[in-house]
Amino acid sequence: MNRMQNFKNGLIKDNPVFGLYLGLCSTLAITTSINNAIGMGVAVIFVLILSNMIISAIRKLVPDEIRIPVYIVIIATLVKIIQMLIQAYAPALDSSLGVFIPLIVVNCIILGRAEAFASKNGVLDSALDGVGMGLGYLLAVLSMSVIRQLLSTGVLSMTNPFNEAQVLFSLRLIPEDFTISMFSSPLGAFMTFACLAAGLTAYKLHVQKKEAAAKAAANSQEAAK
Amino acid sequence: MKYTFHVSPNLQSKNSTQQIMRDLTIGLLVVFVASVIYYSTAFGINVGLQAVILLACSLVTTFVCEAVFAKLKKKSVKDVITHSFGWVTSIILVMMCPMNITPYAIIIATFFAIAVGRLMFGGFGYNIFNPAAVGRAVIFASFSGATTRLVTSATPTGILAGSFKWLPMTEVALESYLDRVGGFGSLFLGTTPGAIGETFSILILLVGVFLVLRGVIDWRIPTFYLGTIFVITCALALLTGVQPYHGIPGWIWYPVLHLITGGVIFGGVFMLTDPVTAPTSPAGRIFFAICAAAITVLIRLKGNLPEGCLYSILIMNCFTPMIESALDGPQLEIKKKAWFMIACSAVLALCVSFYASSTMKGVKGPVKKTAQVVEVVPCVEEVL
Repeated sequence: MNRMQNFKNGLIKDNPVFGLYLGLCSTLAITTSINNAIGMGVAVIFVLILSNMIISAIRKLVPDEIRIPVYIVIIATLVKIIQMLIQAYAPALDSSLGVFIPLIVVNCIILGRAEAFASKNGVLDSALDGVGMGLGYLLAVLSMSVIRQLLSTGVLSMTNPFNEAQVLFSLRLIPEDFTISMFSSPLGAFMTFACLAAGLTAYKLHVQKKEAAAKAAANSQEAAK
Repeated sequence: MKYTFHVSPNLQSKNSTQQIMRDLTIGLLVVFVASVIYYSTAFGINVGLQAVILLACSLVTTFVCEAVFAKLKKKSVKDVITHSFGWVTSIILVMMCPMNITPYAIIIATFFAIAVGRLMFGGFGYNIFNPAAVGRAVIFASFSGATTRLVTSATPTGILAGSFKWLPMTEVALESYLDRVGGFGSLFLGTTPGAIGETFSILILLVGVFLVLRGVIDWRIPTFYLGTIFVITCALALLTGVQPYHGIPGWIWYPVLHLITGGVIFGGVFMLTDPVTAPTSPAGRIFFAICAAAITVLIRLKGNLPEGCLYSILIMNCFTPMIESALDGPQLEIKKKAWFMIACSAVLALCVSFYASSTMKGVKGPVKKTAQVVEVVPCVEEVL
């Protein structure tokens, strides 16, 4: 039960991007197309799960004073591995994500989860937390990229990351004359981000209010008894 | 004898917000009607009609946005619409746009101006940026390609920025420029293509004087804004040695050319003076206007954009809260600081002309129309 909660928290309530405002730099920069978003999301999930597991496995061995350098070394190694894999098998993705793959090292989500969760909990819990947080990140970048790609180009499309020529699907929803090219620029990124974050906050407030109302109702029922 | 006690402020203006906005709307509509008449007679009735269609689209979008907002906030729709004066924003926005944008572009721009630029900040009185300028920036960022083919001739701003780099140095160069736009007279009267409302220099100035007399806008902002542009370009003309034109010395015709080409008169009279986004203290307003003028001239002469009025307004709007807090406090203590700030901004403004004069090479010879390649910047990119 508790484990499922860890996993679910990362998706909606403590969504790393829209709830905790972590890892914004890459989120704002790479969400111009669905391809980029999925590539980045998968890379982050990979690094996050493995780094969480390794760090929680060695949490008792690492002296407190030097834990940050140790974490950074582990994360950097993992990022280098995924970077080389992407370069080898998906060169198109590598060229479109560019510097943001190596920058996963300093992505706040990964170091933040290592500090806040993995260094205090067991391996399985940490792995689940990594999956939850990673999926939360993927969900966030995917939702942003769908909105931005749709509004700026009018087309929802995705190509096979391992073979550039193979188009998985391509859907024109908005005619070319009615696209808003602003959304492919940083300005559109900030605007989309703000709207989605505001939406999540509104949802959280709504849930909170509902829970408080339910609690109050339960209390009054008890008092009546 | 009877003593009465009033809570401060005791010196109150007779004008209500409703009255101010009514006068402003009348002033704007006068210029708009003049524009529709000019475009209808010069380019055909369908071009004039296009301006009316754009305005209608913008107004409808504004009212729909505000009605939806009122419904969401559970307020009375009529109250929100009558108290937020959205129509002023949409009239200004339409007048800042060139004639050849699509109605779709103006609908999206109005949505961003009203919903993002104003309602999200808390409605009328709380917005940081001039909402019309926000809408115009959206059009600039999104729709520079999507234009209809209504007015095809190049605008004076485009020609001056594209072919002459804003610095025609000699009599021949100026002559070849004036030949293409129809002389100083048409620049003053506004019978040249451009943004819908920006070209009517004399008319806008007259409306401005009327609005100042009615107490709608502060005389300081347009005066210092246009005055600073005059002084900066005057210094530039002296430093670079602009030649006289038919006996008029270069340091007079060149600044005048800067004032009547492009949108500075419109921006100075109708947009910088927006009471919500401009500072409230007189000294703050002077500082605000001088800095905006320096930025305008800097963008014009050294920037990539043909015209810098819009962005100077948006940039200075960011600084309004800072100017306000810097000049807040007992007025006698603030006086020295205010003078210091104004002096600094004046020095800054003169630095712009020194910088421009040391790095720019003016156009000496006449530029023929064949140089159109440079000027086919879509009209949309001429930011006001």
